[in-house]
Amino acid sequence: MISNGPGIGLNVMKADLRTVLVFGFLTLAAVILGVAPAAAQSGVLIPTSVKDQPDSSILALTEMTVSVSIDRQLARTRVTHIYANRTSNPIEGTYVFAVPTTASIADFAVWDGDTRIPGVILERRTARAIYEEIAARAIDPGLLEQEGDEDAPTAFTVRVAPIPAFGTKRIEMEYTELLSVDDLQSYYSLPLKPSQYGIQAIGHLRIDISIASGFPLSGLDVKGNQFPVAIDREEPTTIAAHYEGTNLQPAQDFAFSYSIAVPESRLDVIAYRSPERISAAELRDPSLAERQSDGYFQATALFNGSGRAPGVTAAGARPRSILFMLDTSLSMSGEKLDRAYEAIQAFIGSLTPVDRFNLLLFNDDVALLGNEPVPGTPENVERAMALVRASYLSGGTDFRGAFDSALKAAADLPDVDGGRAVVLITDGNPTLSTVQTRQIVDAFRAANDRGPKARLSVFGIGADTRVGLLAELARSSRGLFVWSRETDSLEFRLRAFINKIGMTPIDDVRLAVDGGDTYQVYPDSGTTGYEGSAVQFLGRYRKPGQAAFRLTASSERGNINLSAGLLLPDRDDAHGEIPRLWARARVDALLADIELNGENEASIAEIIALSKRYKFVTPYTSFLAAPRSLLRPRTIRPGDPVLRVATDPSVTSVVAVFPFGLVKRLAYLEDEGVWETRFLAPTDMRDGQYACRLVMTDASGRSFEELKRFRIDSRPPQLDVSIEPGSARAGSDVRIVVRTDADARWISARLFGASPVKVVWDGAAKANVGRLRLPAELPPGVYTVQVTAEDFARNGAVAEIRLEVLAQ
Amino acid sequence: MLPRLPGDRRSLVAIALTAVCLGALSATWLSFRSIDAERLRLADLDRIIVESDRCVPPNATGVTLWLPATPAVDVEPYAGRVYAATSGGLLEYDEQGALLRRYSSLDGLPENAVTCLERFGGKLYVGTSKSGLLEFDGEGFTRYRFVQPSAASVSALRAGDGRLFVGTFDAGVFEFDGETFTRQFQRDLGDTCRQVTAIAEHDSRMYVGTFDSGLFVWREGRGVNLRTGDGLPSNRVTGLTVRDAATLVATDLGVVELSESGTLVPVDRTPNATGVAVRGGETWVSSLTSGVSTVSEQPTAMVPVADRSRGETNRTATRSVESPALGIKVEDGILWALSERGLLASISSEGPQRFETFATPDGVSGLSAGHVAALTIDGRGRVWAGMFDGGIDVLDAESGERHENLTDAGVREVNALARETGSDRVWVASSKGIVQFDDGRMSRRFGPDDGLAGSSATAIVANVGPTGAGIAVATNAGLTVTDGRVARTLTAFHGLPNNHAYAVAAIGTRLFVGTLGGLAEVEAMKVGRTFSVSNSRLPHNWVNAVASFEGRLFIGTYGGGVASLMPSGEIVVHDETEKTDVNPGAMAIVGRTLYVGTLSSGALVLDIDSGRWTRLGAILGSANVTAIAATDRYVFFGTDSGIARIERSALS
Repeated sequence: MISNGPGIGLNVMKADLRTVLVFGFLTLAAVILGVAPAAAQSGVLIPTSVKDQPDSSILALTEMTVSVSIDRQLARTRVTHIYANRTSNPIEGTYVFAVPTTASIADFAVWDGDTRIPGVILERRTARAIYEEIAARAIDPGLLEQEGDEDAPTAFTVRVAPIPAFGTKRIEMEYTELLSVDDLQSYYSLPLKPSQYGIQAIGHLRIDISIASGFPLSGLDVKGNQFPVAIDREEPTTIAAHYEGTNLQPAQDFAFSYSIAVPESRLDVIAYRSPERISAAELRDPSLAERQSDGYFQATALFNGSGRAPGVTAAGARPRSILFMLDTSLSMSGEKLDRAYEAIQAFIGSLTPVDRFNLLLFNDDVALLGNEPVPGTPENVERAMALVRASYLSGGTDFRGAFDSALKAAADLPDVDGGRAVVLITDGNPTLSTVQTRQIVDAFRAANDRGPKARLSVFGIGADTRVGLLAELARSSRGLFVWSRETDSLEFRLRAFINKIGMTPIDDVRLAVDGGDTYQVYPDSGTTGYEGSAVQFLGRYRKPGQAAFRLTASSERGNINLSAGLLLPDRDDAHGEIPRLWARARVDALLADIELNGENEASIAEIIALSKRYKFVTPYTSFLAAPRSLLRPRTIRPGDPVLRVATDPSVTSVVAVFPFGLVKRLAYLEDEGVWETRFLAPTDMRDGQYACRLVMTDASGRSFEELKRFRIDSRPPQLDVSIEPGSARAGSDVRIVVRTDADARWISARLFGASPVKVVWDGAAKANVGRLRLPAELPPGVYTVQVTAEDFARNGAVAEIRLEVLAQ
Repeated sequence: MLPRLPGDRRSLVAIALTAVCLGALSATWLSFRSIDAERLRLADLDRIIVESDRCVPPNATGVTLWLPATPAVDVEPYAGRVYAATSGGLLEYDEQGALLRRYSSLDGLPENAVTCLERFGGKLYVGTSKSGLLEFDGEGFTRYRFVQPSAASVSALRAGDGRLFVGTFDAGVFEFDGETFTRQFQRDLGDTCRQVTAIAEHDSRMYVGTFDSGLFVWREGRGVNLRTGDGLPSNRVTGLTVRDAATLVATDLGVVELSESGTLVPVDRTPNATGVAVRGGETWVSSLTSGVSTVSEQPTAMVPVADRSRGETNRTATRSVESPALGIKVEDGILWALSERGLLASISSEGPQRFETFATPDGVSGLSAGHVAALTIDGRGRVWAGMFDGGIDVLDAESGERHENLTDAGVREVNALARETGSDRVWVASSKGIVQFDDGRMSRRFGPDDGLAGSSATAIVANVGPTGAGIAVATNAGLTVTDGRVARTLTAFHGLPNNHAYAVAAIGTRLFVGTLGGLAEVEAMKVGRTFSVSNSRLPHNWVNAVASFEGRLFIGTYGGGVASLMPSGEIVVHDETEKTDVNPGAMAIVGRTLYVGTLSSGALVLDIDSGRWTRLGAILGSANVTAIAATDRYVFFGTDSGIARIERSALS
C-alpha cells in the first residue's frame, strides 16, 4: 500500500523549470504548429515507446507515396507511409498528422501484417441520438479522432503498435477538400514542411497528380524548387504529372496551382448514379444498407464575364471603401490573436491612397480609429496598426453593439463601385447582449437595411469559431465568408479574400433544372459568386433522362444566363465523389438550420447517418479511435497539473496509476462530462516520458486499462540569435536568425518602437528567420532586440541581442 | 645453432628484454591493483549502510498540528493495543476502538505519513512515506535510515521466520533480524524487483509484489518474475496472502491464485483490488472502487455499511463493505477492513462473518484532507484552508473544529485565497476560475466567459484598481483585472514575460505579476518594467510568490530562492535562500517578519529589520510548506499533510 508521494506544491516541477507535458494519446491529438505556426506535416510517426520525437535511426520513413486526384475542384489526397523499425525491439509509435482546415478525413487504415484495419465513424457523446456503446467497444484498433478542441483543431493521432523489430508498418490516410477558384486559379498544398517535429527524412517519395476539369486547364505551376514535377500528360481538360525522389529532407510544402482557361463564363454538369453499390460502413450497420436509387448531380459555374486571362486580378486599382472590424474580446487570445493580427495587418497593408477606410475595435465596448474615414496612406495605415497594437484584450463580445457602431461608421464611407465593405475579423463567439444566431443576424440585417447598405465580409479565426453564425451574417448581405483555424497557413486565403473585397460580387446565383425530378439542391437559395471564381451546386435526381440546367445571376455587367444539358444517367459511377460532396452540403444545410432554429432530432439523426455513411466529421460524430478514454490536457502547464479523461458513458470509475507510486481516483464532473484529478510528481522525477495507467470499470463491472503517456520537460528552448546586418539604418529591414530546439512552438522578436515580428522556419536557411523593419524615425544608437520563444511545454526563453542603428 | 651477436649488441638485447619483462610485470601488477580496486569498489557498493538514531520530540511549545482525519492504510495489534497507520500519524486505540493517542512529528516522528505496520521481535515496526523505517518499543521510536542502497519509502513489512522483511519503494527488499540489515534475497530477485507493494512468505518461498513489475517468487536461491504475459492480470500487485498450499495475488485488475506448480489461475475479477485475505475458509478482497466482498465469479450484491457518525455507539454488523477500501488483512484471527469510512473488524470466524465498525477516521481538527494549498483568515477570524483537491475547510482558529466544507466543481481544486479588507468577502482562485464568497456563501463565479484570461486562476489580490474595489487575478493565460463589471486582460502580447502568471501583489497603484518567465510591473494596465535573469539580478525566471512590505517587494522563485525588489528599483538577492523552491503563493508578511513556504526546506523566516534568516522544520510536520496565514495570535502554516498552528509568541 503506497501513500501519496511527496509533491512539489501546485507545480509539477523539480528545481529546474519543468512542466508535465501530456503527450501521446490515442484519440486526441495536439498538433501544435511549432516555429512555423501555420505548418503541419502530413504524417509523422514517433517511436513513443522509446522517445518522444521522431528519430530515423529508430523509425525511418522508407517509403511515402501520395496520390493527388483533383476532379472538378474536389481534391482527394491519399498518403501511404511505410516505416521501418531499425531496432531489434518491437516498438510502439504514435502517428501524428494534420489536414488543412477545409479538408475532411475520408479514410484511415493501419496494416497489421497482411490485415488492413480501417477506421470507422462514430457518434459523439454529445449527440442525442443513440451512442453505440457496443460498436465503440468493438472498434478495430488503429482508428483516430479529430478533437474540436481549441488546442488541437487540425490534428489526428493514432497509436500504432506493435511495430515489429526490424519490421515495417504501413499507414494509409486519405482526405478530401474542395479547392476554391480565385482569379481562375486553384491552389493545392500537401503539408511536408517541418512542423514541431523537425525535418522528416524520406527514403523514397513519389507523388502522382491527376487533375480533371470540365473546363480547359493550363499552367500547372509547382511552387518552390524542391519538388520538380514531370508532366506525364497534358490535354485540354486533364493534366497528369508526377514527382519522384529519394533520400529527401523536405523543407517546404509540396504545392502547386493550375489555371482554368475559360474565355467566358461557363456551366459544367456531371452526374452519378449507382444503386447497387453498398459501402463498407453499410455492411457494418444494416440500418444503413438501404439502396440509394436516386442519383446525384454536380453543376459548376465558372465566371469570367470580362474574358480575362487566369491569374489577372479583377479588382485592379479601383478605389475601395472599407470599414475593418477587429474583435478584441478575451476569446481572441493566444494563437487566435496572432492570426488576427496577421490578417488585419494584411488587410490594412493592402490599402492604397485611393482607398478610404476606418478601423473599429470591439469587445464589450468599441473604439474607432477616427470619426471619419481616412485615405489608405502609409501614415494612416501605421496609425491604424498602432491603434491595434495599443489595444488590449478585454471582456466579452457584443456583436449587436459592434454592428450598430460599425454600420454608422460605414455610412460615412464614400460610395464606390464596389460598394461599402465591412470586413469583420473574429472568432464569432458572442457573449454579451444577443448571443443567438437568428437574433444577431436579424438585428444586423435590419440595421443594414436602414441604409446606406454595406456588404459584410467575414474572416473567421479559430477552431471554436461559430461558423454557422458568421456564414449567415455574411450571407445576409451577400458578403464573403472565409474561416481558418488558428493553426492554418493564412497566406493564400488572405490573398484571395483581400482580392475580393471591393469587388462587385455576382449576386443571386441560382440554378434551375428542367427534368430529372431534382430535389435537395444546395445551395438552396441565391448565392454569391465573384469574377474569376466558381460556384458549385449539388443535388439529387429521381428520374434518369435528359435534363436542362440553367444558371442565372446578376452582375455589374448585367444579367448572367448560363445553360448546359445533360443526360442524367441511369447508371454511371465514374464520378464517385459526388454523393459525398452532396452529403456534406446537405449536412451543412442542416447544421445551418440548427444554428438558426435550434436542434431537432430528425436533423441530428440525418446528420449522423450521412456522416457515418460518407465518413466525415461533424459536431455530432467523430472518426473515433479504439481507445475508450481520452486523456487531456495534452500539455499540462506548470502549476496546472490537472488531469482530465473523457470516456464513453459506460465507464463508472477511473483510477489513475502514476509511475511514481501515486494512485488516484478521478472525480466525475457532471457538467463537463469528464473525469478529473490533480496530481503531483515527486521532485526527483527527471525529464523524460512516463506512462500513466488508467484503470477503468464499466457499468457491467468489467475493468480494463489503457496506458497514457506524458512527458516532463523542464528545459526551455535554447536560443542562438544573430542579426544581419548588425548595423542598419533607420527605416531599413534587418534579418533576425534564430536557431533553437525542435520543440520551440513560437518565436517572436521585438524592438522598442517597432512592430513585433514572428520568426518562422526557413528551409533554405535551415533556421528560423524573421524580418524586422526599423522605424524610419528611430534615432541612431545601440538598441536591444528581444527574442522570445516558447516550447510546447510552455517553457519560455528570452534572449537579447544588440543592434546598432545608424543615422540615415 | 643460433648466430652469436656481437658483444655490445648482446647487452642491448638483454637490457631490452629486461625492460620488456619489467614492463609486463608492472602492467600485471597495476592491472591487479586496478582489479583489486574495482573489486573493493564493487564490494563497497554491495555494502549495506543503515543509520539509526533515536527520535527525539522537538521543542513544540506553542505548536499545534491540525492533521486530517484520514483512513487507516494498515492496522496491527501490539501490546494490547491496536495501532493504525495513517497519513496523519500513528494512531493508538484500545481494544474497544477508543482513540488513546496519536503519534506525530510532535512526538519525534520524522514525518506524519505512516504507510505500514508489523510486529516483530516484541516491537512494532512502522514504515514511513519518505523517512525510512521506525521501531516502536512502546515508549519511543528509533529511526532506521537506509543510506546505501538509498531507500526512503518503506512500503511493505512482513514478519517471517526470525526476520523482518522490509519492502521499500526505491531499493527492493531488506531483511532485518533485529540487529542487522541484509539483502540476501534481493540479489537473487534482481534489480528489477523494486517498488515493493506486498510481501508474503510460505513454505520456504518468498513472494514479493511490486508496483509495476509484477510478482517475484524466490525459491531455493532463485528468483522468478511473473508478469501479465505469464497470466498475471496486471503488473501492479496490491496484496498477497496464502490460501491452503497456494498463494493469492491481488492486482488492480483482479485476483489470481499461484499454485505450487507455478501456474496462475484467475480467482476474482474485482477491479482496483487493494488487498486479499483468507479467514475461516472464506477469501475476501478489498477494492478501491467496490469496497470489500468475498471472492466470487460475479460481484456480490453490496450491502451498505451502517452509517456511524462520530460519537454513536450503535454498531450494525454487515456482510460486506461498500465504501472504498484501502486494504484487508487478518491479524490474530480478526479480519480487518481498512475502508475510507473507518476501520472495520470482523471478530468471529464462526458462522456468517460480519463487519463491525471499530473506529472512524479521527483527525486532530476538522481538516477534511491533508494537502493544504492556500490559507486565509476571514473577517470573523476563521481559518479558510483551501485544499489541493478537496475544496475549502472553514475552521475555528482556536479549536480547529470545522465549521463547514465548501466543495463543488468550482472550488474543488484551490490554488489561492484572498480576503478583501474591510469586508467579509473571500476570493477563491481555483483550477476553474475564481469564486466570490460573501459572509461564507458563494455569491458569484468568474470564468473565461466573464472575462477571465484563463480557465485556471493561480493567484489573486483584492482591493486594487482606482476605486480599490477591484481584484487582480493571475491565470494560466495572463493577468486579468476586474471590478466585477469590466474585465481587462494583459498577456505576453502586451508585454508580460510569459502568459502563465503565478503571483500578483500590489504596491500603491502598481501591480507586480510573477510569471513563468519573470516579473512584470504593471501600471494603468500597461506593462512597464519587466525583470528576468537576463536583464536583472532576479535569481530565477519562475516567480511563484510576491509580497509587498513598505514599498519593497519580496519575490519568491522556484529554484532561485528569495529576492527583494527595493524601492530604488534594484533587485537584491538573499543568498541564504539560494536554490530554494518557493511554493506558489507561499509567502506572507506577519508584523515585521516574512515567512516563506518552500518545497523541501520547511518555512524560511526573515526578520525584516535585522535581515536574519532562520528556518522552521520538523515542528511543521512536513518540509513542504504550501501556505501561510496569520491572526493576531497565531501563524498558520499549511503543508502537504495538514496545518501547523504556532503561537506568535512562541515564534518570537
